[in-house]
Amino acid sequence: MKTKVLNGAANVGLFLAHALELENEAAERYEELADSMEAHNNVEVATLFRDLAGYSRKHAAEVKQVAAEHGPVPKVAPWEFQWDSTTESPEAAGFEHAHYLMKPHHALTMALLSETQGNTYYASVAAETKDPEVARLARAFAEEEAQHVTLVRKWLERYPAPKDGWDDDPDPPNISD
Amino acid sequence: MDTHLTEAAAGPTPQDYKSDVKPIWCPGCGDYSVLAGITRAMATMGLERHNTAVVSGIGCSSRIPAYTSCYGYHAVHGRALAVASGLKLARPDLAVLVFGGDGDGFSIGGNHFLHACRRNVDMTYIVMDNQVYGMTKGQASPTTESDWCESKLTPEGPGVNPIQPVQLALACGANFVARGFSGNPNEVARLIVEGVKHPGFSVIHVLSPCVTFRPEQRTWKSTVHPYGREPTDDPNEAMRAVLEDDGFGLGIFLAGNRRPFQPASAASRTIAQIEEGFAV
Repeated sequence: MKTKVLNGAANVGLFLAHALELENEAAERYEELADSMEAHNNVEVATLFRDLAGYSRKHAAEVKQVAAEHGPVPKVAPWEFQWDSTTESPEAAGFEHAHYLMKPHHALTMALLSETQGNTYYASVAAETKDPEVARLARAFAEEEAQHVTLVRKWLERYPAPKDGWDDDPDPPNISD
Repeated sequence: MDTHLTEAAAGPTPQDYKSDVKPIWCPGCGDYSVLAGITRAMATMGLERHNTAVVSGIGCSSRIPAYTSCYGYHAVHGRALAVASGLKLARPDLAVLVFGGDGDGFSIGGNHFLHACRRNVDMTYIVMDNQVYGMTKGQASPTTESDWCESKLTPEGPGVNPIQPVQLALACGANFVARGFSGNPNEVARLIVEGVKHPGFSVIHVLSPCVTFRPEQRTWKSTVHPYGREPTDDPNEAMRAVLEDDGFGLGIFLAGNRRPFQPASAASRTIAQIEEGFAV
């Protein structure tokens, strides 16, 4: 299948710009989700999202360090990033899956999708680029994302899917029934 | 490659335009992503925070000024455009961005919207449309479908056709009209940048799901589609095309060339001349 990772596969600078954006957007999204869960007193899931944001920030710092070794990273307008099959950065968790009563299982399922998409993106770049240095970096980042996928899967084993009715609220915001 | 990539510059980041106040929207609300689009647009343009005014009305989406680090004004319900017009005319050097929802913009502020479009003051209006009054717990808004029966206030549906914001903006003379979707904040950022850069009154209609009172809107992600036409500068052509749109087409409908409204730079008569007119 033909993918659309031209920008990120073009050269090392553009690849690192994409990688930085990917990690920063992922961290930002997890932080926003953590904030919104805190606002709704869902402390357990808020803590989980905060942890995930921490991992993304850590990875962003690593990418930044790699970038520093390769010279200035070009500035790319938000809409000029090319993310293959996703409109947003592939690791930005989908807001539409959030719910104020969601459980850790749901949060981790969101994270699994995000990390998998991140892995797919880097693997696509590695497969398509003609630049050997981009290929080397993309393979390394894909490998790291694959480890994240494995880690999230292990976490998910601890948090099986909750029973139906997890979103029952005796005092719901919507009282139109 | 179809890009306008520029070499590295240590410019502002989206984070620079966020305040320390944490949003309290419902988890899953589309407005989070619109806020991301706004701050990305501001960073892309490198707007000076002290020369940027963010004005809003009342409602969930109108909380935006609190969440940005620019100068903000959380105005009276429906009056954001009136406040913003006055501000822009008094301080034309400022970048003025106005935010609100469908109820604030098309019901309580409907009259102001019509006249803001026809007056064409150089500012940008971003309407986050979720087709419901969310802050007051889910009543039908001006853009709600006529047969939406989920509110106790309208158990058989509002029974009247919804307003079509894009058509209305075109009919009333807005100079730049576009539609985005919160699920694609980077595209929202592009539309905001284009709208701010375009002279005159720019209207950006953003579909932003309310997951609490309109949970079915979660499917908008698969409903939206590219508008599929190049922007035109001809309002008539834009209107004809929009009449065939299903309300989910995303893109720029009109980038017109009307001259923005400018107040007279000097008084046409002196005080003495005016007094002469009242002499008996």
